[in-house]
Amino acid sequence: MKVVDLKSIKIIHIVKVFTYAIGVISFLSIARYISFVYSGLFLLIFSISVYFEYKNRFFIPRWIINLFSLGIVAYTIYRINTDELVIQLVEALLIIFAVKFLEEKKTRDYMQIYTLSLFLLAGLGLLSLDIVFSVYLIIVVIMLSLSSVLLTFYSQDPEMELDFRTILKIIFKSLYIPCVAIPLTVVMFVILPRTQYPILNFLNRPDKAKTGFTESVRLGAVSNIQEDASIIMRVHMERIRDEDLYWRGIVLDYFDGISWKSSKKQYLNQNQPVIVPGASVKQVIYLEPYENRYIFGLDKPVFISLKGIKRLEDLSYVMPSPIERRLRYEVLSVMSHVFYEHDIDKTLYLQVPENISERIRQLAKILASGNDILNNIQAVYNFFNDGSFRYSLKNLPVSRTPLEDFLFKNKYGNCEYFASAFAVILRLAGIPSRLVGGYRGGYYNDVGKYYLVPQKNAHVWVEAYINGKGWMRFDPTPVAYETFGLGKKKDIILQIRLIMDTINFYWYAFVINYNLDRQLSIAFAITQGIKRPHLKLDIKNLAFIKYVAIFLSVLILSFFSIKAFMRRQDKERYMLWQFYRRLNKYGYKKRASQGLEEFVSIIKDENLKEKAREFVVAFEESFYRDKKLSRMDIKRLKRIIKAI
Amino acid sequence: MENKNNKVQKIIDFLSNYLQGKEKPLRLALIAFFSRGHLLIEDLPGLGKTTLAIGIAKSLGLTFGRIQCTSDLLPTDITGLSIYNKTTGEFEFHPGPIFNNIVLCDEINRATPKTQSALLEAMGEKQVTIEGKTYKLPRLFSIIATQNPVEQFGTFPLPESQLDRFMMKISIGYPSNEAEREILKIGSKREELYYIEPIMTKEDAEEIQISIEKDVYVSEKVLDYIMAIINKTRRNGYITAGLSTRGALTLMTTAKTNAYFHGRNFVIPEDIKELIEFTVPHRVIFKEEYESLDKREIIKSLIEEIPTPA
Repeated sequence: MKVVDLKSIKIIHIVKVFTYAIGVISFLSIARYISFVYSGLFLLIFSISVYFEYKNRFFIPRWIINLFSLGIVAYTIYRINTDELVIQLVEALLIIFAVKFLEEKKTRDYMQIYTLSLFLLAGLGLLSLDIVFSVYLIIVVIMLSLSSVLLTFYSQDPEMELDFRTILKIIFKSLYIPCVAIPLTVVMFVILPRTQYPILNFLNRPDKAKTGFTESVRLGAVSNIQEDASIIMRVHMERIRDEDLYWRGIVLDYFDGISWKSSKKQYLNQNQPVIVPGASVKQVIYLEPYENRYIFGLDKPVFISLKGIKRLEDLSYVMPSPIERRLRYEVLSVMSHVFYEHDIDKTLYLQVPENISERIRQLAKILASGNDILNNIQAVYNFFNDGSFRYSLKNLPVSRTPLEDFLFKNKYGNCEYFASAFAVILRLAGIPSRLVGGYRGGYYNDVGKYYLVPQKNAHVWVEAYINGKGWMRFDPTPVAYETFGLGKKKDIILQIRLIMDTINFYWYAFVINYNLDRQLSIAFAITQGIKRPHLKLDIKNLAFIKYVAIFLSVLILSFFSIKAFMRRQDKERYMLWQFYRRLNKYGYKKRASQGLEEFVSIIKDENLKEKAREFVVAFEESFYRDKKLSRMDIKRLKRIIKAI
Repeated sequence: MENKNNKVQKIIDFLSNYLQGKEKPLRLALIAFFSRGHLLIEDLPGLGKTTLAIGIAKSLGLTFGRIQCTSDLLPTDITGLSIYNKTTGEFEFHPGPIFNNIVLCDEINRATPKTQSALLEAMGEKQVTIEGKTYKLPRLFSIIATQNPVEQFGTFPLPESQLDRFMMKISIGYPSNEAEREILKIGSKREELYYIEPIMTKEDAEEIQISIEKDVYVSEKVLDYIMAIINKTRRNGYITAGLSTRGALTLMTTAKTNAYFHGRNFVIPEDIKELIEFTVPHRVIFKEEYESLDKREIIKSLIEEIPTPA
């Protein structure tokens, strides 16, 4: 009789305790989000498995469990519904999780349970972004790391027993892992969702100016502008005419001779209607984070659905703080050149710098000599577009009088020069005008049905006020629309990039969903019957999700059924099939009535015969002993087949 | 396993010295012996049947008995009989030649049916009954019977039921030219055979028999294959009576021994296929129109129609 050390504990018992504790904690963390039916089902299955574990050694066969899990997956897909997607997924996961406990658990089953608990935790992260999540995160991570360390001992020797002190030692040592990992995780958790750029990128941020949106337009400061191809936003909408693709951002009204700025303006109530005639277009915009607080929309945006957004009287929209993470918002725009405003502050929009050069004044006088305002504007427009001026991003005039240099000396520049000069001349001619900054054009992705707007498409244009009509849009920059494309359509790299971007887009749109809190609140709002006309989910998107879900489920189902089909025994068939195929290449075909050794013995090439025999002997060893092929056997057989 | 298997190979190698050119029959005879079965050799006289039997017996350290069958042979000539002992005043049992480990039964088809059936009981039951008293035969017991296919006059052909009791029916055939030349040159080595040292003991031989029974694994797939063979013999156009269950058992036990001889502890289909022409043809009854054909070839062609498990 073996002397039993009272203090020694079987490793497996500790692993079991930890595993069941993880089960309980995972359940508690999500219990308040899921329906009580699932909670009840979980508790039932869970307590049955505890009973099995405690009372006897009876476990439910694996295939029943797998079948059941598949059933749950199928049911979940069947009732899937975008409003409560996460909850439904979590509920299904929870049941699969519970069912997993019923099994006779080997090392891999424990690992599966741990993985599932992590998934559940991720589900919790999607459901709640409050501090409770991090509490559960810390608990689960600590328990998981302890448990997996103990599990490695168990996998070495299932019967291993250790005394209490050794176990404590192991536990303390393995606590290092979460102690290091959790703070790091927290850092990642705080930073990562808020930035799309690599965190350390600021270390090598270039000093060169890049094309892109800025709060002010400053002339004559840099001579070369780099084109920045990174994406500022993706706009999900129907395709429209290229001429209408102006993405309105900021309105600049004060010019000090070198730079344009935006003066303080009144905020308007968003609900106050804006009268703009024309066709309305709805867009869903996914805006990448950038250093400013202006929100873009197709010119003229009349409504933007974002919490905390402010509309200015000049029809620009601003958030209270810079955009630090990806935003998803919906915009309702009216495609129109004209924006009616019946009473404007003329002194503001006619302001010119006091020290403006006489030559420019003269030029304005000459160009806008007629009586008709529209004709005058047209004349100024023609002045820039008659061929004497050209568009350039290089060798821009660096001077203290950039406008004058541009108009009379260099005669080339980027959109900022053109728009500035245009607006100044109009103002000198007594026509109220202002600069509008934003983006021009974009590349339409037909697959994803969205416009891709890169940073380099940043653009400035002019709005002039015409009595009785309102603000009219003029774009004096003499540049073809193609400049605002992404490149040649046939470029393969571009095509690949676009395909990648499409995938990205869907990932953002459906998985990350930008502002999750808001998404969920919408989901709750809809379930409660409060329907806001602008926030209805697009039916098409819904259908898309369904198709994706069906496709994925078919994929998963077929994967599992193939896997079930290709159980060990069929692996034997598979290995044999490969073996026959190999020998077939050498012209040896086995008759059905031939035994393997008989078949091999007819091979003439001694070398080949030797290798084939090696396979046959190794294969028969398990095949005719009704042994299942172990992973090692399969590896070995594969190696032999390869050598044939 | 490896070790014992080597011993089997040793016997074959050793006896090959004395039985020039008879390796195949020797191997088959050993398979029959280690499968606890009996062997029927159908061949012309003078081709070395006796030498084979003596060789097996001597090399395995077994006793050897010989029965020369004639039409006037009585059952008691085989089994032995009780004789009155004057000094003790009791009947004393004198065991016949059947009480040996290896019994060579020459020209079995010349014995009368009565004698044949006495032999039959001994083969089937491994015991003999004389004057109401039953005597157990040795645990290691194997009959090697011969019959002459040519002489038909004055013979009593073995009935099918008795043929079924023989595990295998083989023929030795003429030795190869070189082997025969060698015999002529050196002369028969039969005499020497009586004096050879056994390679293994009786116990070893028994151990091997047990080891074959217990350690050689027959997989489900091979059982299915055997079932397919049995069903094939029962359902086809050539045969009226297919394999009996005893025949099926024979297929399995001989296959096990064959596997053991090949150094394996599991059976593969080839183990069965190799022996099929010796285990099956004498057990089945062919339709009259096919009686004249080569039965071995028919059986072989039937087997070729059965797919192997792998």
